[in-house]
Amino acid sequence: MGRVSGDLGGGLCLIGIAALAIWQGSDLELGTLRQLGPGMMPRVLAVLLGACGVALAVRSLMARSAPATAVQEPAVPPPVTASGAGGRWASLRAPVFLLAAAGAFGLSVRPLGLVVAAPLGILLSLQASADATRGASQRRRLLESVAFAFGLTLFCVLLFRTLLSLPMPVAPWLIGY
Amino acid sequence: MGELFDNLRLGFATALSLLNLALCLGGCLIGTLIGVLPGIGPIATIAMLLPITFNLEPTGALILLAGIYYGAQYGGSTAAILVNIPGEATSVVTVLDGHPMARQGRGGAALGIAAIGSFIAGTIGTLVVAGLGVPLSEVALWFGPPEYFSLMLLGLSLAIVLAQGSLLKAGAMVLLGLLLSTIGADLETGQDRLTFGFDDLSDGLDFAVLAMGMFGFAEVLRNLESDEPQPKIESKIGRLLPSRADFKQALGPILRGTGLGAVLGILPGNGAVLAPFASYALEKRVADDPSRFGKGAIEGVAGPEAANNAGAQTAFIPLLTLGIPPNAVMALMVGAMTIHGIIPGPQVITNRPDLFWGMVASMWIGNLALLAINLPLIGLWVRLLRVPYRLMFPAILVFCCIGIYSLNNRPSDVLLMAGFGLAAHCLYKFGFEPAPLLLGFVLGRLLEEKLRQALVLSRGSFLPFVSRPVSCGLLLVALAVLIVALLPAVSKKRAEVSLS
Repeated sequence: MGRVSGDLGGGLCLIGIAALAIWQGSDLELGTLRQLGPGMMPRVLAVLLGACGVALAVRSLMARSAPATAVQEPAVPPPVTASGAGGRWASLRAPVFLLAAAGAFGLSVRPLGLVVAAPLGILLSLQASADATRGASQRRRLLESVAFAFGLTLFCVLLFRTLLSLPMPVAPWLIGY
Repeated sequence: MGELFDNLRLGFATALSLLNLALCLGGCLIGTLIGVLPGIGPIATIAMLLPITFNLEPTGALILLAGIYYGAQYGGSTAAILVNIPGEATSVVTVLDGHPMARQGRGGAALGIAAIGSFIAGTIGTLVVAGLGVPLSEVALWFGPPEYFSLMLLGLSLAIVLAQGSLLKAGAMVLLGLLLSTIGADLETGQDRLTFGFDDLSDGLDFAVLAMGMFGFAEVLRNLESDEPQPKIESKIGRLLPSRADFKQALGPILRGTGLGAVLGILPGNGAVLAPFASYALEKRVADDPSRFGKGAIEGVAGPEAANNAGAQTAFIPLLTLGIPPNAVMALMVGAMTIHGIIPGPQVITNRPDLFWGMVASMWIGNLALLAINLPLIGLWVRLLRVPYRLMFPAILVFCCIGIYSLNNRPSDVLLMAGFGLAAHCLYKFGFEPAPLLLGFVLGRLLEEKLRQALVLSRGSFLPFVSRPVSCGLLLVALAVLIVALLPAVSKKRAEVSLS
């Protein structure tokens, strides 16, 4: 992704965020200068943010329409992410599995407790690394992952619940807290 | 002068209680640990450990968090010297000469001088905090809403200038941070703003959730994507104590770096990040033979390390005297203080002298402890550096989740954190940096409050912002900073720094 197309995308993102904020704040009172209302700050900030977005997008479009004078970025090699199979999938691997891990943790921690949420999160996030699919045999990797997940969970329970006495549900369905 | 000593005595009496001493040492140890580990910084760690401090008494809580903060600065330099990766953003400069020294088998001397330099800088920095705290808090007492507003504007413009890359993008990030801070109930009317109908958002976004997402979750994503092979660790460390000649060579840079760092650290808007760069540039300029730099010059380690630590110390000044957090770590300190019902600001020194002076004293004790912890435990830190990242990041992720959940016992916070992490990662790919956004978020509520107060007092006129001398001066400095950054010569330099 060159700087120019990145700026266009970034500018459009900012414009989108600004529009969202203006839409959400549209029913808030703006107030007067003597007595600013709740809607004034969000509105002013969103407009300024949108202006930044427009400036970025216009600048990148202008640079693109005049390629002879466009500043060329020094050739940065694209980050090597796809060392395994399937280039496009590989670059999505980390975000997808990490989001899944955090999501699974967040959704399961209250009803099922740490003893379920933590291993779930760990096992899912272990899959995020491209390392998960290469090197040692699948069987050994699986064993290592499971052992690691449960070891770390035990550590977390001892550290956060027993030692630091944070109010974390450990296993409400089994031991009642 | 006598008063200062009385105050310091009170501080040491507080800091040397058994519990506080243990918290200080524990904080330093945890801080060093995470400073050494790449991929998890002090911001994420403090956010993660915030719930633990709920059960502590406020002084102890702040001592623990402060210990983590400057412990991480030390740990970062260890990773920089031995592995050639900066464990912390602030130790980027240490890599330049520290790692070549390690390759020449002088890693021990580099670590030693970094620790000694940091200790000297920390001692002087602590004295600066102690000396300036009272006078500055007296100045702050006659700061009105316009002055506060202008000061925060100055902080934000510094944050824009200090960010890497385009000024426009950094400015946009500050605005986005300010915008995010308006989410939640309005300060005066209590109306829900920009909550999209979610009840969990009407208290506003939790700063810890945002910080952990942007610095914990997004950092893991970025590390996984760069997919670097396990770095090579220099195993030959050599003797730890620098020789007499080394020390003589490093003393000047340490003192100059301390001065630079102490001054830059006081600036609102995270001037401390600039300190190591400024010190390195200065040492290179005053050196007899600048060509040695980058090839293992001990001055290139000593100066920036001292500057870094002095800046870390004096960054407490804006927080403790004005109640304005200059960076994200300090904003988390504000969180820890308000949980215990302490509103940071000039009144803290008079109302809670034990807290203020106890913290000052514990800074010095912490620096001493770090000298004692960091060097003998080098072997342990080196071993930690060998833990493969594929096992480390799931642990980081789960710790983040547990920390965030236990802040408010709200599952939605975990999901929000992940969402912000992903958003920050996308923004990063478009060339937007997270640091200005966080500062904007940190100052947003206070900025709006002071603006509204000022306008009520002036009956809707903006005149007081420019007619009151202090406010006007602060605004002029803010303007000057932005103009200077836009000058062609300076903007070229900024581009060079961000490329290297």
